Amino acid sequence: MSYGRSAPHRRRARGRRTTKGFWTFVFLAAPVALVFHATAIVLVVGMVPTAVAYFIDRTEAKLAPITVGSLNICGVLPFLLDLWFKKHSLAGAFSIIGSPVAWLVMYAAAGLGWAIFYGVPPAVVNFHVMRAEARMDALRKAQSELVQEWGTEVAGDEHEEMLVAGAAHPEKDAKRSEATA
Amino acid sequence: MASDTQTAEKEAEAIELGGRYEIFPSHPLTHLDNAAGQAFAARGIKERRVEPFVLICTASAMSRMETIQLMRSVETLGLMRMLDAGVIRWPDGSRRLALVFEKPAGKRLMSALQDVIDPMPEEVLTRLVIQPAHSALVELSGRGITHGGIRPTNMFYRDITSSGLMIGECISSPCGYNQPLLFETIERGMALPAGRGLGTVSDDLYALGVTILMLLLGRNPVKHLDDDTLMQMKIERGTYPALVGQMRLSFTITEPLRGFLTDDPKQRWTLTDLDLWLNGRRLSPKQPQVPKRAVRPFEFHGEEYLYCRTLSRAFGRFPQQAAIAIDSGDLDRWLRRSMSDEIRANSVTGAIETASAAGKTANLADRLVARVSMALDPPAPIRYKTKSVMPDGIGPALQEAFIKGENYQPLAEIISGQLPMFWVNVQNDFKPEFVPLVHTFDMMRGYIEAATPGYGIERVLYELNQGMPCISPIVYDQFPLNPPDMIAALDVAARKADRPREPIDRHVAAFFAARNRRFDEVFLAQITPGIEPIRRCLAMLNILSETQRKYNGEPAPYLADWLVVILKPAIDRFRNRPLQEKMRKQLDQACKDGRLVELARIVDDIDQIRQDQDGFAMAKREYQAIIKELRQIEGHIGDREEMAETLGRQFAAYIAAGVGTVLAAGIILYYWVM
Repeated sequence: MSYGRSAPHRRRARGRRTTKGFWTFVFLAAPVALVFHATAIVLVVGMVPTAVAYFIDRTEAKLAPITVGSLNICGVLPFLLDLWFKKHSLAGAFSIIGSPVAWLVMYAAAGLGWAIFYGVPPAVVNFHVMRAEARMDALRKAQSELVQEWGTEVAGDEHEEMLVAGAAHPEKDAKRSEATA
Repeated sequence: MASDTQTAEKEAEAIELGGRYEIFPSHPLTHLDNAAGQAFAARGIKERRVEPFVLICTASAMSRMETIQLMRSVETLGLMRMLDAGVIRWPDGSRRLALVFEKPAGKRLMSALQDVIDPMPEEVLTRLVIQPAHSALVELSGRGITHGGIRPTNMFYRDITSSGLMIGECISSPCGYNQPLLFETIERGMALPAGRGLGTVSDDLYALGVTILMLLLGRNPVKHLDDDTLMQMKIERGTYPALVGQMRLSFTITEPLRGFLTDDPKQRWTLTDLDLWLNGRRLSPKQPQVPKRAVRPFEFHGEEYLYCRTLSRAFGRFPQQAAIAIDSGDLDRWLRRSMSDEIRANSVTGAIETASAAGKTANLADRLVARVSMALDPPAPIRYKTKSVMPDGIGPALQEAFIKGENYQPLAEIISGQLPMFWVNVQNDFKPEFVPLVHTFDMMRGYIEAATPGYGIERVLYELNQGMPCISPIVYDQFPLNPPDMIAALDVAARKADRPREPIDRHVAAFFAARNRRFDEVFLAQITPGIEPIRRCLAMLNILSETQRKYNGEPAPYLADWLVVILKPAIDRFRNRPLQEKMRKQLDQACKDGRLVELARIVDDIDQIRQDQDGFAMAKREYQAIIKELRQIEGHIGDREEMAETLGRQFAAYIAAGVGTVLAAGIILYYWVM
């Protein structure tokens, strides 16, 4: 009996898709790179962190290369503009990749991307949980008010279940509210 | 005599009766006491011409309440005049019936039947007794009242000079209740004192006849006989021969004596005959009628019987043996051969057949004997088990059984076994009063068969005794005679610490149903013990509040408090707690006002109930929605890693893309400008 593919199968399939996408990209980008070879050299060298992010992100959404790449390209962009507006040649390209400042800027920008990639999710989760807890408190208060107004019968069987689960304690909440009042 | 009242006035604090009479409880008049209660001195507040005395009836007295109003209109020298009646609060806290009568200035004619007095000459007897008694009986019969208490011990001299006599009162007890057997006709004498029925003027004339004889002789001619022997003699020989025996009486007085003491009511003298006699017209004396005698005796329970009446009486005493004798067929043979009475034999056969028609039940033998006894002696009372009652005496007999705590089951079985109908069927002469009698007992049978409160034997008790107060233990000492009285009595009962849980028991329910013709009997079915508590308490409230409203009853704050306690389920059915609180406050206010209708309006408001139900349903839905949302949120925030992987990473990508776009645009702009 088979209920679907196993985990190794899924990994292999995803790997195949990634590889296939990569080779499609190479196949399409290669002729362009041959024409704009100076730009291609700077891009290939400067966007290495994004490529690394692409390969290590095993998810389908590929959010790591998007996050890292968004800022990585910002690090590469000033040098590309320099190349395009001043002297678009192999010498210019080698001059850029020979500059430690260029490497620092391009890779620092990628580093910022990684920082966002790892730093933002916990903050987002914390914010979201806080908001949810505030909502839950409001709902529990509304529950208590209903019990206060209509008695525990308003909860029906749910009341007992919730008491067992400890998820809600409308009677205690009601008493607590009375005490507070 | 006048000094009695004056002394009393000094000694005691008076109790007022309706602002018309003052009663002095500390001044008893023992010589005027009777079986129903004690006599006390009294004084008229407005009416000072007549000196009254008051009879304070005991709680167990069975006064003829329905006759009181009629008696107040009777005014004749021959009868103790009734001046007033009402219920008063006695010093012990109970409510008692007070009957105010004209006080006789002279003494009682005889204090006991065993007393010996000077024989009364005929002309004195006629002037002092017969003439006043005639006028009294004319007055009473004109109002359809039977005195039932004519005897020498209930006669008083009007004044100290002994110039006139008056017959004592008769309404403090049922007709014939205190009458010794000697003064009762054979038929009524065979019944229990409480079961002698309403009687007729003919019964009073019989009692007058015995009274005349006693006064003529100055003694009781049969005082050596016990009641049983006296009855046997009356049956076998007839009353006149049994009482007069071989005594020689003057022809003048023999004539009315024979007329009054005739045992056949159709042959007995009437008031017209007496009137004619008083006016000097002499009639030929009635000859005593000897009952039909059998050729050979019927042997039963070691005795020999020659008369149907004596045999019927013996059957009533020994029903088990009688049933065997009836089943053996001996009775039928004796009636046909020895008594040669085919009609009676057929009547007995009919009685046997109808008794068996209901099938073999536990009481078959008793029912059979009762019916056969009636067939043997139709005018006699119904004899069933230990009870012997006239059909119209079943009510008072039932009342007595309840008041004395005796077994009333035989009386209930008399009604459910349709014995009164059978009694009517076997009577030789049809009387118009039999029609309502049959109708009444048909209804009573229906009441007995219903088990719910408001029906049963209690309902029969109050239906057959229309003037009877409610004898529920809750209100027994309050003497409630009608529905508004009952509300007031319950209000008093509500103040007691040992009050029962509910104000309506079987007696109270039956009393309300019997005394209020337009009573909504739907409520009765709802106060049955097994019914849902809310419906039960609301039904009780509705019964009481409707009664108070209908009769414009006095406020009953304590009863309202009592009702609020039992109304808890009706208040608790409202789910909304603030509404409950508001209702409790409203009920508190209504209790203070004592208006039961207001209580009903508060707890039984249909719109309010509907609103509460709708609100509760909505709140329940809201609660469920909250639970659903809570579960969703809990599920959502439960796996934080997953949330970080999905939502957090997406958000990071958006931020990076946004920042990247802004930076790129800035860089391009910078290069463009530069």
